Amino acid sequence: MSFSLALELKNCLLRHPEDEPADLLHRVSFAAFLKTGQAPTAKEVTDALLLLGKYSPEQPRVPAGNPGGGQWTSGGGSAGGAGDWIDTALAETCETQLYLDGLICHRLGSAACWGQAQFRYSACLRGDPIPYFPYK
Amino acid sequence: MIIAERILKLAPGNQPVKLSLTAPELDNGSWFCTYAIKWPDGERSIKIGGTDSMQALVGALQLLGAEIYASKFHKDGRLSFEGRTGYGIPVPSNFRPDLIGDDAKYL
Repeated sequence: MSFSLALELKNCLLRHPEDEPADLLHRVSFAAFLKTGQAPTAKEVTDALLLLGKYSPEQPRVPAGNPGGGQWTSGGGSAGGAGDWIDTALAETCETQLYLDGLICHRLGSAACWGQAQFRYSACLRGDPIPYFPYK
Repeated sequence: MIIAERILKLAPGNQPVKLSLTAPELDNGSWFCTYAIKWPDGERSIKIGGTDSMQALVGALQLLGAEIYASKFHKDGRLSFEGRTGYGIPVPSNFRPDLIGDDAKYL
């Protein structure tokens, strides 16, 4: 059975209309992982959220990489943004990926998962192809 | 709690670039370390997770190294540490081909 991230997001919104975007991401990324065996890429999630009008790329976020971070904020937070030192779009993509991977690893409590999440972030920063995320 | 800091210099003008690393902290069963880089025009701060404190600490240190090597300032040859080539900070394996000077030799 094929998996649609946008459809999953839509269903989550119906079931949990009170969810903040970060809670929504948490639910959807874990559902995607359970159903497909892979964490969604940052671009896939961003595209799906954009489709549903639930995410603005300009909206600031707190630093990523853990269940308490990487969340879209209402603005004015301690965002770990990017400036002249790094490509802004790349930094945002990498941080979102790290955040999504972190949600899964935190739930699984797997050292292999955390190791792969770290390596995937490193690959993203370097502009390398992102390795598959089997966690096992 | 910050457990380690380093100041790099950014040319021209030897502007300070402060690197810092926090102690691992337990949060709901996972461990997290935060690394931060204070560039002249802003700060970048990232939390790195692990299943234990060692994994979080080593990962944060390596990804701090990766951030520096991925920066435009490094690629432009504008960063230095204590007059040596390289920064003395470990990197993940995919960044090893990029290491320069003393880093390539000793890390």
